[in-house]
Amino acid sequence: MEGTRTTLPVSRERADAILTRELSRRRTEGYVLIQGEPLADGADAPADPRADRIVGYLHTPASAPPDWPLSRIIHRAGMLRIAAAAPLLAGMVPASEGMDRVVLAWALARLANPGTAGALRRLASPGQPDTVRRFATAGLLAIPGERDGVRAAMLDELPAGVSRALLAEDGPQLAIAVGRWLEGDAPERPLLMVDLALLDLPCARPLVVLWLREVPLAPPFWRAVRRIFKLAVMRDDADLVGIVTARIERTNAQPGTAHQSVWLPGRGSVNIREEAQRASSAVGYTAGTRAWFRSHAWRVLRRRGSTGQAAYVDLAMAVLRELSGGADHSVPSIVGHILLGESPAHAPPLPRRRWHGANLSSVPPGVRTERYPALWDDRPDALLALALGGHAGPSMSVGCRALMGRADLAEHVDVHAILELLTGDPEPRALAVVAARAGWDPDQPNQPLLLALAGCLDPDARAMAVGWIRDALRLLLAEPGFFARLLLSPAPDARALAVELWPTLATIPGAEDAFVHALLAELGALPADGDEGVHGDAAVLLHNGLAARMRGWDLDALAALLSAPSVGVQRLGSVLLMRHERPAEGFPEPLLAAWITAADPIVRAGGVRVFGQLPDAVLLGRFSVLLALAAAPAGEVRDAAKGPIARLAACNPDFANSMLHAVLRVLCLPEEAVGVHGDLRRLAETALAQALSALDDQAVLRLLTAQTAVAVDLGAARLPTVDSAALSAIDIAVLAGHDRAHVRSTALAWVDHHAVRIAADTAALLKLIDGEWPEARAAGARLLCEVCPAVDRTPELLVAVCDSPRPAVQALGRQLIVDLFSSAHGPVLLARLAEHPSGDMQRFVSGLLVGHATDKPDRIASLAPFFASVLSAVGRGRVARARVFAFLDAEALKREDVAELVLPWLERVSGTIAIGDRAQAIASIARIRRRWGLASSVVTVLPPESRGGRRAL
Amino acid sequence: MHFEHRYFGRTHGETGPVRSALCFAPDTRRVPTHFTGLVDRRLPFREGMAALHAVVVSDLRPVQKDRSAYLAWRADQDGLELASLLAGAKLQRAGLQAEVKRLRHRLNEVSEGLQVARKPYLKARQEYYSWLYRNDRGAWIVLDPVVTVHPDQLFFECFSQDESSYARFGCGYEAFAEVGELACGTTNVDYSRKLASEFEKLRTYRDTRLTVDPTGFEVATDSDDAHREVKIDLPDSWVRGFLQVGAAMNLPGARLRMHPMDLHNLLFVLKSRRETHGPRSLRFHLTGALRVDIEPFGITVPLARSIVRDNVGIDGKAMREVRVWGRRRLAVLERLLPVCSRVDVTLLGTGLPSFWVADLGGLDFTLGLSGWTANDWSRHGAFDLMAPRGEVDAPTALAVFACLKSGWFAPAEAIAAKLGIARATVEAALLQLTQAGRVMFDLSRRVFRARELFADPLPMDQLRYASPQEASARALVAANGVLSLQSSEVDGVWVLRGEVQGPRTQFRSEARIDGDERLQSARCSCSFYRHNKLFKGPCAHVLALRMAWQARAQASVAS
Repeated sequence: MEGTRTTLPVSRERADAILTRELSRRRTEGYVLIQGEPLADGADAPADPRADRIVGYLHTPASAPPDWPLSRIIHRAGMLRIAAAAPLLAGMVPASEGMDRVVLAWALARLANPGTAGALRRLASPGQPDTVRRFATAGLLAIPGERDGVRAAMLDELPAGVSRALLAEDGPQLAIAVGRWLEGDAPERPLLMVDLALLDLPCARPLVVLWLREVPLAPPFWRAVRRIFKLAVMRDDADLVGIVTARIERTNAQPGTAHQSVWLPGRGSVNIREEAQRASSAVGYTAGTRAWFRSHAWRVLRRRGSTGQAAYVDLAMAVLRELSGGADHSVPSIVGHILLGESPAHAPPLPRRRWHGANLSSVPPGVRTERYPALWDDRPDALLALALGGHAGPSMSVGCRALMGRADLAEHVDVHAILELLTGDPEPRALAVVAARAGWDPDQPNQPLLLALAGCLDPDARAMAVGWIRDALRLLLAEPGFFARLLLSPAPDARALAVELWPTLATIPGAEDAFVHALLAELGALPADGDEGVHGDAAVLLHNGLAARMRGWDLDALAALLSAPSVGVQRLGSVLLMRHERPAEGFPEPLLAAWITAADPIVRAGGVRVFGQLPDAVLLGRFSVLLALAAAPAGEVRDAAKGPIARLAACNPDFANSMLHAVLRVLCLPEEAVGVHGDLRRLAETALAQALSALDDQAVLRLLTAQTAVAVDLGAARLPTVDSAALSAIDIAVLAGHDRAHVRSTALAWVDHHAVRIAADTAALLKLIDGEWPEARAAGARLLCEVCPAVDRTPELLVAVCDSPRPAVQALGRQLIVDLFSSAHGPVLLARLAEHPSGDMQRFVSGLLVGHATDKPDRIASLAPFFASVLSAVGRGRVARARVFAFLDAEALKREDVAELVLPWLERVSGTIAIGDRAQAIASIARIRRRWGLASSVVTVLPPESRGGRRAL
Repeated sequence: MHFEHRYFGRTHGETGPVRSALCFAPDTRRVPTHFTGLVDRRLPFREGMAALHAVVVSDLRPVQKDRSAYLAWRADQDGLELASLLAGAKLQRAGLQAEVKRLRHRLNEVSEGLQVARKPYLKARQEYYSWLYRNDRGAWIVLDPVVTVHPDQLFFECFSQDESSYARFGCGYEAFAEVGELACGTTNVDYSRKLASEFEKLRTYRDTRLTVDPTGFEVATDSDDAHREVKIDLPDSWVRGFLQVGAAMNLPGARLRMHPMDLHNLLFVLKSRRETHGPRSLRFHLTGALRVDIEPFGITVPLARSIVRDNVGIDGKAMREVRVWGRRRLAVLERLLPVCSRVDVTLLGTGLPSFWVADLGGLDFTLGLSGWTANDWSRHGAFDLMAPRGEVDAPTALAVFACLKSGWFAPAEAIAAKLGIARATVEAALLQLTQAGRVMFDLSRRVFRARELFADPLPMDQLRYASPQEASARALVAANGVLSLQSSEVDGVWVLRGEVQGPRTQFRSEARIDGDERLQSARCSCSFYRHNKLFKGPCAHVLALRMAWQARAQASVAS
């Protein structure tokens, strides 16, 4: 690793600490130690009596305690990586079998000793169990001399696409090839991921990591996940162990697998143990499996920790990192073991339960709660990572407590870490203050550290920072930018200090300009969601202390504030620009355009005010801009636009007229924002009042028929100015049916005034008669009955009245027909009214049948739809139906051609369930058949049944 | 779901002494679609449009009594009673009692004053709603009808507000005296009560021109005030109901050719009687003499002039009996009786949609009725109408749609022959497109038609199920998750008991189904039921139990 983390040379101890921290950081970012290089914790501890004891057990297994079977001795030798045990283990290979052989392979792979390569090759040879081969292969891959050969052999056995991509080190292509391979149905296909994990090539590792994060923990994938986990444990691969542990912790077991048997779709209840032995098993990640893996994960860590292996910290960090983000206050079991294992206030929960107490408030200050604190003390970088947050459970508190008491704190917590800690919770902030105090040097004041301390939430830290600033004032006065940033500090006391020191700074030649430059730059960089008060002190200083200076300041620098993320800064920029000494016409066009289109309405309003100060000649050429401003969604902008429009309208009638019509057009469109139409109406009635008073009648009618309420209101307000004599009869009739009562009453007054003209217009008259509103209909009826000449009340007009869907209007039409009836009109009325769908009209028409259809077969035929409609009516039209039955019966008995016409109609209706109608229809059919001898397809007359009556005496 | 329409102008009708014109304003956001024609068969056309309007405004859902005023009063009263109790606990201190009494008196005064003050408002509100109900039921219209122009016909489609009735009014060009320029496609049309009134004025002695106005597509500017934006927030259940009924149209079922007077008789019995208790179904007997039992009146209407043309259930077996609910929705067909020559009825099965196609001679009216009027959680059926019935990949579905759209309508076998793929695949693709609202099945001519119900693709995952519980229930039934099921009938109520597989353990569920196959009550040992009872509908296990029972019952009826 190259690069530097210090600007000046530091002591050897400090450099080692930094290197350790950087190595840890790289590990957390996903880097891994290249296999074969010396391990950080050393391969062996020669002086370790425990190692000697285990070697002794290996020599003489009988000397081991009774609860130490051979497999346990082998396992412990491998776990502790006891190099002296390697030849002994290799020697055991030929005679081993069963589980001992698996453990031997595991231990030898973990040792990765070149001297045991032969034994490993033997264990990796074909014919050995899969598990043994896999561990042995992993061991060979860890031995530099063997690695290339084994890797080449493995690549040969992989699918062609996968192996090609691995050889080419092409990550994307590898992902495609693996994806295609995994699409297959065979349950063995996911085992490819085990091979990739085994190979552990840099181009394949991201893919393995991603797969482990996403893959469902269920068959057929679970088997591969399990194998990868065991491989990772053997290698102390913290990342993979952490990922799988977190997945298992967060993923429920397969449903229904908590018992000995499980119910499977299509197969019913099956024994879990038997099912798990099948190659294509439908269960794998059972409740028991999950429970075992959860406890096993802690067992793995505990073994590392209890034997003092440094790998414990890496594994624990990976687990804590992967399990971060839990929302509740309970912590997973393994996290509790890691962080609360030594806590005097917490006790381990029952199996499968979670630890409670995500904070350590019940633990006295300074008491360490984590398991194996000595191992953690060796890794201050890991403790700092915990203190910085982002890990599961109370890790932040644990990290802070562990670091707080260290004498070498300043060496492990640099300025960047302090700045980061200051943004956190109280505990990290307190740690940051202690670290800052430990590392403070008044001769080399660190400005970012001072600013961060001065702006932090801790009042003691802020007071300390103020004191330090005063102590180092001589050095800091040479940096005006520091005071600009101090003036924008989130803490009010820090800003007050900056204001207090400003007179001192201002006495230094050139400092004022540098200060303003820096302040404007800092203002422009303030975030959008910052505290409003942050720039308040700066605004006061710029408006008061520096007002004269700012009136002549560079326009571009001020304009840059308009595009600042913070709205408050934009508004400050707008005010500074409005107070600028340059006149409106001197502002650049792009600046004005950006200003009046700013997102903030108050800023926009400022721009509009400056825009309105442009000369009249210029503004007249910007008609569309003025209209857009007058109809802007923001009320402030509309208000600001009123002044210039009123000024122009007062001295330019053509402009006023054009603006009025444009405003009326906008009023007829849907309102873009609440209040726009109201403001535009006020604008029309005030600034454009003169043009409005001269509005023509058609424009008023357009307003009245508009879809927007304000336009209609304005039209209604202008209605009295309309000359009704100039309106057409149909226009008046339309207004008489208007939704607004005021408009209707005005129009109905006009109807009375122009009664003759409207009565002579059939369309207008019908519009009134069939209007929506009762008063309009009454006026129409009055015109029809009283004003309309009798000669104009033709049958067509009366039928048109009857055609209305309103029953009351139909009744009026029927009444007029009765009043004005002439037998000459009978056939027309009969033919036309017979098509009316209303029951009342059908009854009325049925009364005309006898008078105007008797003995007229053609007319009867043309009335077929009417008869069908009356006879098919369901549960209504009794009177009309009776008349129709009687009429048809009478006419059919008179003429045979009519009978042939009528018979199908009666036959159709004879199927009704209504007894009376069916009886009438059947009786008519029977009479018609008797009279004319016609055949009927639906009615057959049967002779009465003879039951052997008494013989006449 | 939010939908936006943009109409140019308004749909309007003009009726003069000798001619009338009906002009629809189409949605200009959609593909340009227009039509002009002179209607020849005007009275059937009028009656068809009237029936369509009746479906658009129909809402037969029971209206719940407004109890908000009572509940507010009750809340106040509870407070008082609680205060009274507390006062009693304080050894009935005279001062507190008097204070309670005084407060109660004051509250009564205020309540009476409030009632007096609210009375004109409540009266006006009631009058307004009554007026609206009598005069402008169109104000309840949810979505404007959809009009589709095809090379052989123009048709309107709509779905009722109560999410239970679908109507399609097809106007073959043989019913027009003259057909002008047309552009095929589908669009929403602006629809209003005024327009329905104008339809009522159609007569044979007036030339009638029907237009789907192309003008809106020719106006380019957006700032024209003639353009109207209409934004509608449609309930998901409404869209799902529409799609479900559409998807059911090409399912097999019992097909009856019914004489208009037989339908008349059904309507006559329903109109002349009012039921006060369940069951409220029409029970069709399809074997032996064709007849219908009208429950609960005990009246049997023989369908003497009707015949069964086909009888294949969804499971491929002939059905003996089919029950249909929501029968009062058939009243919209009443106006068609005088002008129709026959009514073709398709019954898919008990509790499933039914379709009634009235032949008006060149015109046809299809009424599709969902299984029940109220498609709430108490009625979830056993058959998932939105389930895919065959695997089809996206490219194949697109190819089938493109082929269909090239000619606008075609039977499945013609598409299969044209594309050279299996008919079953084509039918599965067409069903998938039907479920997505892009294709519809024309029951009268038995062809598929390209008709994109909405301009934008629908979120089918969101629409598939009415609730997460229903989705889980369907999955449970599909995976044979109902481990045991016992059913017994007591006083016309079926009691179902069974065990249903949960994620980790089995749950004991119980449901009671009444004579109308409505879920009366239910219980379950799962946590969803323990937390919510039935306030959020039944849990997945109860639903699964009911679905399994329904499937079993249908299988036994069929056999």
